[in-house]
Formats: sequence, structure tokens, C-alpha cells
Amino acid sequence: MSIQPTKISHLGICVSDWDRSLRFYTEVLGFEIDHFAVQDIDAPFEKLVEFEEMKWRGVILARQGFIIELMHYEIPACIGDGERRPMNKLGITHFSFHVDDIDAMIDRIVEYGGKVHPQTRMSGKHGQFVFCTDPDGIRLELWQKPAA
Amino acid sequence: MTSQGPVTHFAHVAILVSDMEVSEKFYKDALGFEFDHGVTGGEMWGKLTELENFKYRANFYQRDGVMIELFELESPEVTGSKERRPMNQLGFTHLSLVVNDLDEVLKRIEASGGRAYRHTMVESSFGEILFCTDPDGVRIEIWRKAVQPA
Repeated sequence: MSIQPTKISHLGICVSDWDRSLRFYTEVLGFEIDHFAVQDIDAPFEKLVEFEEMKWRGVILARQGFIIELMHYEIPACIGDGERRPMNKLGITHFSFHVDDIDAMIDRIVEYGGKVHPQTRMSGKHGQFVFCTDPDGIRLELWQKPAA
Repeated sequence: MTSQGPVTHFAHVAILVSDMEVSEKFYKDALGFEFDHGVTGGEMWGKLTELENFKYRANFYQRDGVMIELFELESPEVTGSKERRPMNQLGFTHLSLVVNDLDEVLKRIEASGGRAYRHTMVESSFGEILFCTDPDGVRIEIWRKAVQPA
């Protein structure tokens, strides 16, 4: 028996528009649908998430062994302004992805409801970087390594 | 370009911490991450992060093929309350881990600067699940799966 966690399960993400975010994470970031979580499972998740009443749905997505859960709440309503968090705010700051073609990726992010923050684009010996955001303001770092 | 779009692969999830030593102990001792490499850096990242006088130190840790980056700032000062975010707040909500020995993991979490919210514990056909937080309030979901019938 392991005295530490046996395995990472997933990273959870709260989304305001179910269809838009599902499209974004599958078609832009390349995650694949593993399974949908349903509302009428037996677990009293209100207790876990500290809401008196709750109506939600979730989906588990996987890519290269990395698993995320998209969650959307009808009750209570989702809160948050969809703006990117400052990088000096404690906690989870961003997702980072390697890309082959940073410009193609930026176009795709914008086409599917995300944003690019062009003023953040920079390059150095490690390659090119830019921050984008998902449709709800999650920071996505794109990193294109220098051509070999 | 593949059917998965222009992303070639996932790089990491980054977490800003207020105290690297405390958080390193938490992620290593309580959650079982292993140190991969460290970097220090400076103002070349100011443009990317939109922060002036950006000076940081970062350590990368891995487990189960997932890479996390813990970073702390020398400047500017960090912001944030260290309180857990409500679960209906848009964006990243939690990191979820599966455990065998729930009591021992909770003990380690509390001994490493984290907190366990025992009142959130639910028991279900999935097993037992509760929320904890890391030393800076990041929600950590701890899940002991129900024993499957043989």
C-alpha cells in the first residue's frame, strides 16, 4: 500500500459555455473524449464542492496520458470574469503546450473562441513563446522550440 | 499536421507558490512528485508575463508523466489570498489524485503545510473523495477508489 497518492487523476476546469469549451479542448488542443460524467450519479457531490444545491455536467478528456475534466454548472451559476489572471497571483497560473507552428496555433485558438495576447510574444534561445487564453481566460502558453 | 491540431504535446502546468521550500516539501513528500530540473531567470520573461521586474525561480517536478512547474517570485510581489477558490469559479479548479491509504495521505498533507477539508468527504460507489488544499490554497482532490468486486 502506497502512503503517497498512487496516481494523478486529472486537472479540473470550470467552463461557462459547454459546447464552446468542448470544441476548443478537442479541436484546438487535441484532447479526446474519454467519458461523460452524468448528473444523477449516487455521490452527494454537493458536500464535496460545498454547494447547497448543484446541477452540473462534466466530461473527462485525455491527451498523451494527461487527463482534464471540464465542468459546467447550471446551479449555482458559474462566476468569474473570463479575464486572464495576473502571473503573480498565487496558485495554478497556466497550461503550457509545445507547438510546431505557433502562428497556425494562434489562428486556431482565435477561431474557436480563445484569445491571443500578441504583446506577450517573445523569442529567445529557447524558442518563441506567447500567451493565449481559452474561452474562459485560462492562460495557455505556446512554446515553439527553435528549428534544429 | 495531425488530426490533433497544431499542438505537438503537453508541456506542463505551472503553479505560483509563496514559499518554494514549503511547496516543494508538499508536492514531493505529500503528493509524490519527483524533482526534474530547476531554472532561475529574469527579465527576459517580463514581456511574456506582462510583469515588470520579473525575477523568478522555478523547479519542475514529474509524476505519472505529468510535469508541473512550481515557481516563486523575487519580484514583483505575489498576490492572492491563499483561500480555496469556489468550485463554480471559471478556470482551473483542482488537481485530482488517487490514493490507497487515505488517512496517511491526509496526515502528510497536513504535515507539509496543506489543509484537509474533512467536512467535504463524500462516500459513493466511486469511493471516498474529499478536498484538500496545497500551502497556497490550490484545491487538491483526494480520491480513494472503491474496491472493485473480484
